[in-house]
Amino acid sequence: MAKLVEIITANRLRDGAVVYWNQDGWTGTLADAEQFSDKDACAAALTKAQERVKAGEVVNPYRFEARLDHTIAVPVKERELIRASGPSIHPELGKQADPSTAPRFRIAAPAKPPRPKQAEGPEAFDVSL
Amino acid sequence: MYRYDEFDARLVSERVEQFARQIERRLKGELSEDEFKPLRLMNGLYLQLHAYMLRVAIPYGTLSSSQLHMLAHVARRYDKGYGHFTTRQNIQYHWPRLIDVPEILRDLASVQMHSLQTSGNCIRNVTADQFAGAAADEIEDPRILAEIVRQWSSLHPEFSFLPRKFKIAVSGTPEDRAAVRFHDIGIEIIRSDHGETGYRVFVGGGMGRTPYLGLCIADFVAREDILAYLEAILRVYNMEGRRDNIFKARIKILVNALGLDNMRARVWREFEEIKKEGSLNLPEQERARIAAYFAPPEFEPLPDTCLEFETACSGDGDFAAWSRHNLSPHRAPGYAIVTVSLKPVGGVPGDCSADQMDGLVQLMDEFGIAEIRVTHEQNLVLPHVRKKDLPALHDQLERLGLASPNSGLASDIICCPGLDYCDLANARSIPIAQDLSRRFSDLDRQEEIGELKIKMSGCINACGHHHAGHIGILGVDKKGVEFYQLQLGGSGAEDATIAEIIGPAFSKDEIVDAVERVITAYLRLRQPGERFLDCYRRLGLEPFKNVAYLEQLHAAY
Repeated sequence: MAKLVEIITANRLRDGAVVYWNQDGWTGTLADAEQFSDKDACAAALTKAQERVKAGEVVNPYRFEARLDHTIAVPVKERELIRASGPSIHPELGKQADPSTAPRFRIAAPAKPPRPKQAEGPEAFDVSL
Repeated sequence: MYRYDEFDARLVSERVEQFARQIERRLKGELSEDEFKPLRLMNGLYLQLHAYMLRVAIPYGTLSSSQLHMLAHVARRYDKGYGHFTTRQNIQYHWPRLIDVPEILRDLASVQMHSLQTSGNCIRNVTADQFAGAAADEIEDPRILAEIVRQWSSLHPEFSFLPRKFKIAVSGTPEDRAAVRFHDIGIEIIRSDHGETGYRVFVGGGMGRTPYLGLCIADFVAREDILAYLEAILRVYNMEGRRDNIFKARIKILVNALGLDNMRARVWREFEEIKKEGSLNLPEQERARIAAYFAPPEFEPLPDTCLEFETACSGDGDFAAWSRHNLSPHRAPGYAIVTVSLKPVGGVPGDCSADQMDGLVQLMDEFGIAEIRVTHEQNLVLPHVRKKDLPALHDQLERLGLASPNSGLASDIICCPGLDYCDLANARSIPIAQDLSRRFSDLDRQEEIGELKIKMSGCINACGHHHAGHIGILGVDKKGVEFYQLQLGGSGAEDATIAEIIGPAFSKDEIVDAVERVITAYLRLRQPGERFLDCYRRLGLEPFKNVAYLEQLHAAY
């Protein structure tokens, strides 16, 4: 079973962009985020991150779970997968559009819906990123 | 259309500067996020998954070409080149930076637009029938009352901190295109047996986690009494609506807790008090002053049949298909109402690029169309188009990618932004809508199915009106995984009903097939002339439920 880690995230105050905690500051790339396997260490870092709210850097820091695929953290919840990438319907927008911020994973494409024989039209839509 | 007077203009510009100072203080750290959040929400600014979201009010969905041009400018300069038209006839930008918001609001104010009361527990942007002033069967342009209500409710001191948000819709025709019975207050303009125009008022409608249809609290309110009557309803709600539980704070909960008769009696007592004070009468002179802003353009005297148009319709080309679905009867001979679909196959319902907006502006100028409307079904409407111009107009819409011939058909899907953008969402909704739109992209198949309203939300708040869908889909989260509940038999029209949930939710790989099986069953079971909704009402849930879960039943055995 893949190892679970925790990551701290927030939105940057001035533009709302998604950021992740790394050591003593923020990064826009999930791949560069600090991965916490110790809950107490994560709680301590979250306290530090919350100080940055007062400093006007970020809004609403919180922690979320990710599975480690080798060294790559893949968020457990769909919401965090989408925050780390950008809208799944617009691969040209958000972090996924920029190689420097794109996550190193892809949201799994659902199986293509089986097409009944009588149906006409183009191929079923693939929602992969 | 309505033009700001000096009071409107001053109010908006003062508010922009006030909010600009509040943003400045927030960026300097003089305001905490807790202090700032209610202030930004009062100005329509949310923080969502990837960025801030700015919701701009489009009162009763009416825009001039210069306003649409400004919306394009904002999309291009401050956002990512597009905007999203919503089920409340507003537009949302999904990527503005906080530091740019003051400039955005100043630009919007220069064309008499703003984002006031597009969020928060106040009276929100008043919505109305998108065919206002053009519909053949209209009793009175609903925007006249909508504008009067807008003026009465803007920064109304008594109603700025209601228990919860409050939505009002107005319809001027017996055919309801404004979903009036799904609003906190729905107003239907009616004519009495004596020929007097007045208002039938519904109260307590709504969607969300507890859907209710509005109940008729007053059969006929006279024109001069309408503001007093609305104030009476709001006063009862403001005093007695629950503030202890956000899920029970809407007026629909109060109306159903008190019972309609009790609510009516309380409102009547307040109404009599307000009438005694005499300050809230709506003088006919003032009503007429507002009405003058909505006077229809001078229609050319034209024959109702137009050879050029009829010839183009009789072909089997794209124009003929588009004219079958996207044109509606106009009150003036020789004119038509055009629905511009924002639902291309596989597209994002309601999204419109800056270039498309500017293309529409050019087209409006070229064909002498002064206004464009936003519909709660997330399309646009050109209300007054000469039939002889339609073939040329269609050509230009095609060039802009705005000529999908699907108004009212299976691929004309209402859909909220869902988990691709929204902080409240539990599941993505747009990819499912796109998948459905591709599955039913064949126009012959859509025409065979006939009128079908598919509506989809990514969470229980029901921005995508799933309760009012002939077929409604609700995205839910089960342990971090997206699932989709199927509901059938809803309607937001004059035959309003709330859709019924058919059973356990489907996975994202199953939901489109389930919808298709339900539609295929309808085609097999329907009687001649029966819409999906009629067929469902005749047969009930069971046959559709059985077929929707068919695959699982096969798997279980």
